[in-house]
Amino acid sequence: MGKKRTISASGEEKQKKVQELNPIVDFVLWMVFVGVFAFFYLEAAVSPVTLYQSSRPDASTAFYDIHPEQNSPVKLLEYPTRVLVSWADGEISAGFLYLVLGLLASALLWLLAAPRTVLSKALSFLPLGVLVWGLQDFWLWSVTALWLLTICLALLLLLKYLFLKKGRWSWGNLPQKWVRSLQMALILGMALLIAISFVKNRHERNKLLVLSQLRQGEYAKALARASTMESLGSHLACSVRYLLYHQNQLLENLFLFPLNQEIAILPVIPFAASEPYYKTMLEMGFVNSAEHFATEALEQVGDAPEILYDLGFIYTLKGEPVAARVYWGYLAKNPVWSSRAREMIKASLADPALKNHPQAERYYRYLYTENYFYTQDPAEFQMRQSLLKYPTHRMALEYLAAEYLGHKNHGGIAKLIPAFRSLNYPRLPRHIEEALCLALQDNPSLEMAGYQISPETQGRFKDFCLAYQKASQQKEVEQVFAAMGPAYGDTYWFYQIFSVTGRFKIQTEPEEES
Amino acid sequence: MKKLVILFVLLFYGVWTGEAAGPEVDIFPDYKGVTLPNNIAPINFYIKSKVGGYRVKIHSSVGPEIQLGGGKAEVIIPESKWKEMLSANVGEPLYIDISLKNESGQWQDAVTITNRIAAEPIDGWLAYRLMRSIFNTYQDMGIYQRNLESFQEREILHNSRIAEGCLNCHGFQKNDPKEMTFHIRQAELRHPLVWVREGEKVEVLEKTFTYYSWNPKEKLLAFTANAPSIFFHAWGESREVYDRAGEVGLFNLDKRTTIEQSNLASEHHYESWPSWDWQGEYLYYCKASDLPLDKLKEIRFDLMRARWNSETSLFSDPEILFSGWTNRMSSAQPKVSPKGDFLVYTVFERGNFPIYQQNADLYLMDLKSMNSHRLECNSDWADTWHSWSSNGSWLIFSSKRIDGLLARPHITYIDETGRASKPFVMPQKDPHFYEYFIKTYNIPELITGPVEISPKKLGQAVMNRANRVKTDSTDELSPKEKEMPPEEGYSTWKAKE
Repeated sequence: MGKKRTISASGEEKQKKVQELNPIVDFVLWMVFVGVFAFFYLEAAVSPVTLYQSSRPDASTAFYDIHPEQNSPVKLLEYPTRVLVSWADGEISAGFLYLVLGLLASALLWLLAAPRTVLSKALSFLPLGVLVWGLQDFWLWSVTALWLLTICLALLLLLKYLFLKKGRWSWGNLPQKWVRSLQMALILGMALLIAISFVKNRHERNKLLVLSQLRQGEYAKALARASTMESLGSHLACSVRYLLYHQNQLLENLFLFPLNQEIAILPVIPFAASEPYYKTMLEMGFVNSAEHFATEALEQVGDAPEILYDLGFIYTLKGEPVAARVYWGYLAKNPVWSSRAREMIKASLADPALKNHPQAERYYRYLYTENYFYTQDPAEFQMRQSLLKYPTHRMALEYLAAEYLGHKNHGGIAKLIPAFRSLNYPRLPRHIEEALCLALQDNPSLEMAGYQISPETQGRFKDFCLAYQKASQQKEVEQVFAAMGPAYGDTYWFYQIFSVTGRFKIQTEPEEES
Repeated sequence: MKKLVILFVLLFYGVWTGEAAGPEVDIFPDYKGVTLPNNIAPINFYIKSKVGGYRVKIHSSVGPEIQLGGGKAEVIIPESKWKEMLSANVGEPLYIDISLKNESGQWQDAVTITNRIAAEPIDGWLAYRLMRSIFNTYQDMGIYQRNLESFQEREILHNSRIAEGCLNCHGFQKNDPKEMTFHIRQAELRHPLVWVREGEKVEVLEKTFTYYSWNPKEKLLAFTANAPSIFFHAWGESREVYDRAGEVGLFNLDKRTTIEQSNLASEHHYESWPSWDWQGEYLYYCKASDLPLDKLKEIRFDLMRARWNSETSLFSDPEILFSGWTNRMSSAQPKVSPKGDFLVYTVFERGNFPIYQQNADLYLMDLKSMNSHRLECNSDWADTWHSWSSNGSWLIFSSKRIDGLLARPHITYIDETGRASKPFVMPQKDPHFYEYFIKTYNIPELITGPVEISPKKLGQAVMNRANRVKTDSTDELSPKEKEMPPEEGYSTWKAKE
């Protein structure tokens, strides 16, 4: 009994200490702290203008005048959001509105939170975090979530006020047990939501991480993460190809990833993969293609610093150093990138062509300066042309070979053997050997330029043929696929038959009603 | 003449007294030896050479001088003092004396910069489209207006208000902001022409065309409905536009009816860039043979004109003013001065879209003598998309001369003989502005005042079905065709994985 009293007495002391600071002052101090952080984040990571523009509604409620089909109950939730956001008609008013939205929900949480430990204080500012994070890409739903949350919290606070005995209400007082339970439930609910979204968004998160690591040049890490993914869109597939090349694995492990014929090759219309595509083209030496798709990427993702940085190089290569400095000048407004951008401006002023800059030097090596015109990027033609001009252009060779592999053109692969010899490849890469196994069946006297297909590949090919013979006796293609996939899914032969790699998930189409 | 003599004497005096002995100062933007409208915003600049400090004295014939100085190289001129100086010294020279402090702390006077304040003002506002240097897709695009007498910029309409549609080719009747039209390329809206009439009434006309021009007297547009599509080059300028079709037609905005002009059309040819003169007497346009893309090097547009008969609503037989075939060059964007004495047009190597051609230059034709000359304001980069001030003294045009990539509005004075002064870029509050602004100024159009309708109201009006107006061509297109904007190169494409 005495022990319990001691515990409760020490608890009361703690509560008193917590309550020593006026909660309003405490809130304001926290608000200032979080506000400064949010402001820095907005200024540093997101351009306020971009943020404002990305968060403006499609002419508010008039959106529904041309989209009557979208008047579903879920979509109707967006309606008040559009009304709300349309009130703010300028950068300042929009910023003010979003701040009020975020702070109102935070203040309500603050009033409900007790005891106000550091954790609960931090949690109180979660809505503001949601706002800052969500506005960039999910403005509609982050604002919708915020006003819904604000209404729920206001109701909760009202309940608390109504059901508490008079006189017991005071700022900072410990609430009743049930209120605490409710708070706990709320926090747990939020934690659960975060956990669910964390698990559910695993693919999206992994995709973002791969792209982020690719941008930062952490190719090995990015590739390792990409290899755990169960499916690849064209953006990721193009990124994976780029990563594989930089890890000397493009012709060794291309078919290790879940690919189908559409994404196993470079995209014909590369809008869905603008960013990895422009990086590829920049290194490949096709600076106009790089400019085109870097610009597309900029339109798609906003003013991403990495793209602005690369555009500076692109215009330097094109002989437009002043334009290059405009992009770096814009980048210098970003506090995180400022010093790098200023360094580049300084270097460009000293040497407009940046001939001695290591990065530019790499791009100059295989710069393709002959003109022809086209309506869609002729990737295969470009690589062939580049290889003709620069026989030691390893990237052009490997990408061209990968392109042939993707198109199941083992005849084309056979023609590339001398190019591998002139680039002094000690042995032919695995996928090339696999393609040549088939090419040799068509033409046994194929000139191999001194190369031999390794005994491992030959042995595996024999096993593959036997296994396929056996598996083919099964009726359904899915069964053959399932039988062959685990052992040979990463080979060109498997891809040759199924047009997908072993890790690609085949969607069985529902049977049509007769 | 008297002024010229005074100017000459002053210049001669400056040289004779030894002011030329100082170093030539390099400033950005280049505001040296230019003619300024008497209502232009302050020409803020920065000194490019590395200096420990500077002193600047701006003065003219009458009134107090403006003295500035500091350790930084930026020269920011106070707006009120600047305005006072310009209005008190109309037609007079404007001097900028710069003293620079060198590394050893000594002051040295640089050569005085001598500009001229013109007697004629420029139209107070400029409407333009701002966008990044786009290729196929666009996300962030808007039509804006800028007060040329200050640094105030206002949005007319941003595309985020109209479901990310493409906004293009804004036009005004005789530089009047109360009669404005522009296009929207947005499939759900059926690519309409938006007419803001009398400053605030909005009509969303179901009519799609490409290039057009306002008749100065009637609510009548001359248009061509072309099908420009973008294609690409592997080296050099990346983009080029190929036009596939287009015939001149007239569209009556009040009656919403189209009047075909068969005598301007001819088989195996197509027309482009229609443009009325300010009296409504002639229609100028360009015309070329309908050649396939692989013969693009041979696509050269002639410059034509035809007299308009408002009673019969028909044009006379057209006459050739500039032959593309003879000159081995193409022409585009004819614009007649308000007084009707000069015609300025763009001449460039081939095709129909000069902004993507480095060699695009402005030419002026004296409509009395019919002689043309290359304007003195041209540069080594594309100079095009020009617009006349309503008093005919100023020409504003897009030029890529600063960086070779991004078009910036440049202003030049056209004198009575048709000679252009050295142009200057539209002043900005921050003199470094053009060194970090990654958007391009597209279609700068001078207007006599601001477009007053609010962007919010305009956006809502465009999106509101009630404002849609059917025209005689509403049902011409199949639903599938309506989905395809005429400028397929600029179609909205959203990245979807």
